[in-house]
Amino acid sequence: MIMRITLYVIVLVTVVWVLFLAASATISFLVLPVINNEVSSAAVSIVRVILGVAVFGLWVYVWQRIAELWLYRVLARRR
Amino acid sequence: MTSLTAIATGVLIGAALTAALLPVSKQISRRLGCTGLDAHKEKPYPVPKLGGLAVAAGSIAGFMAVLQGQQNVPLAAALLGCCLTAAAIGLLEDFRELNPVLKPALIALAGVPVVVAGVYTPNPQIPFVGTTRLTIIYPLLVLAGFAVVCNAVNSIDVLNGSMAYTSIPPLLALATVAYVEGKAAVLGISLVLTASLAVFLTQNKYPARVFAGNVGSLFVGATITYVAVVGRMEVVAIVAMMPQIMNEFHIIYSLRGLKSAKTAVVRPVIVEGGVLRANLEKRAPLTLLRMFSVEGVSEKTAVNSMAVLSIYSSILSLVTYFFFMRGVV
Repeated sequence: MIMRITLYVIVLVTVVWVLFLAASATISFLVLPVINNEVSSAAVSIVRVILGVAVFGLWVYVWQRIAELWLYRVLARRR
Repeated sequence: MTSLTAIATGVLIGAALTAALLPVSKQISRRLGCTGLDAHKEKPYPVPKLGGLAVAAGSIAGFMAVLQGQQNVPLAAALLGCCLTAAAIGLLEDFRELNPVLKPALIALAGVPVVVAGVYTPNPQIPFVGTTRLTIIYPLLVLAGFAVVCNAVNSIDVLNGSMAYTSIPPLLALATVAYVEGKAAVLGISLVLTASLAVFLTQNKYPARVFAGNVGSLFVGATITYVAVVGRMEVVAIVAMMPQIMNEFHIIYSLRGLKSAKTAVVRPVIVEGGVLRANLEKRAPLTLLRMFSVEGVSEKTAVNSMAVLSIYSSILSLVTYFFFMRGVV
């Protein structure tokens, strides 16, 4: 029983890890050229930064929602 | 250069001094009335909670033995500065509850010695992307990193042995990467703290005879952050510390801000006859322990589950390093 719960939490951590890799790579792709002055247009720079912040916000929201879903729908479904 | 002999000496000094100072730290705790109730037992009893002093003193002696051959004063000064600042803030909190908003700001100060000494490289490596250049914002990220990691280690120190069992695997993952990259100083620092924590576990594992206290958990968090920043292993540390960071993040998110979990109206876990059972009320803070105790679990089993999760996330950190970072320019 306990092993099963541990395995489910391990799956959750794996999902969070994949999301972290995807989010960090996406944010870096969007924002780094702006930080390194590689984008000449100010409008494009602003859009890239806004998109980067949006990806970060979305990642945080999805992370919390998945954890809640895991607790109530996966781990505690028998209670 | 830090030699293997210096590292071995540092590990031995760290372990021996921690073992020698643990009884002293227990005496100091009792004399100062600094004890905490072991709340997850059927009949809670007071436990000395300044065991972290022994870990800090033993580790610092070991660190100095490792760094003695370096002849790099800023490196040693920054390490001493950040660890002692974090330990001092933790000690203060062991005697007096700090404001939960003020606390992260204070802990961020532990990163100041690293920034002032300039022992960081503002070029973190990001998976798939490779080396980046964050000259201006990196010092701010260092300060934020100290606040996040120290609080994360602190927030997982809820069960007998949980802080040490979940800190050793990330330290070993960081040591592995440091070894592969030939970074002897941070390899030595990681191994010294690992040895010191292993000795501390003999007294802190279930049933605990001493707690690390905030002084211990903040010291460990500061050392891990220092190793990550100075060794340029930020992402490896983040992935290895995922259980702790997740735990902290979910507490902050579910309490809707920086509030002490102790002040939560609804407790995340209920103790019934020595069994930990998750409180399934929606208002309860979402913690790692609450997930593990959803079907009722003994404290010992919950700590084992946390340790297994920590080992797993440390393996993930090595997978991240070897497959998605190494070789990516």
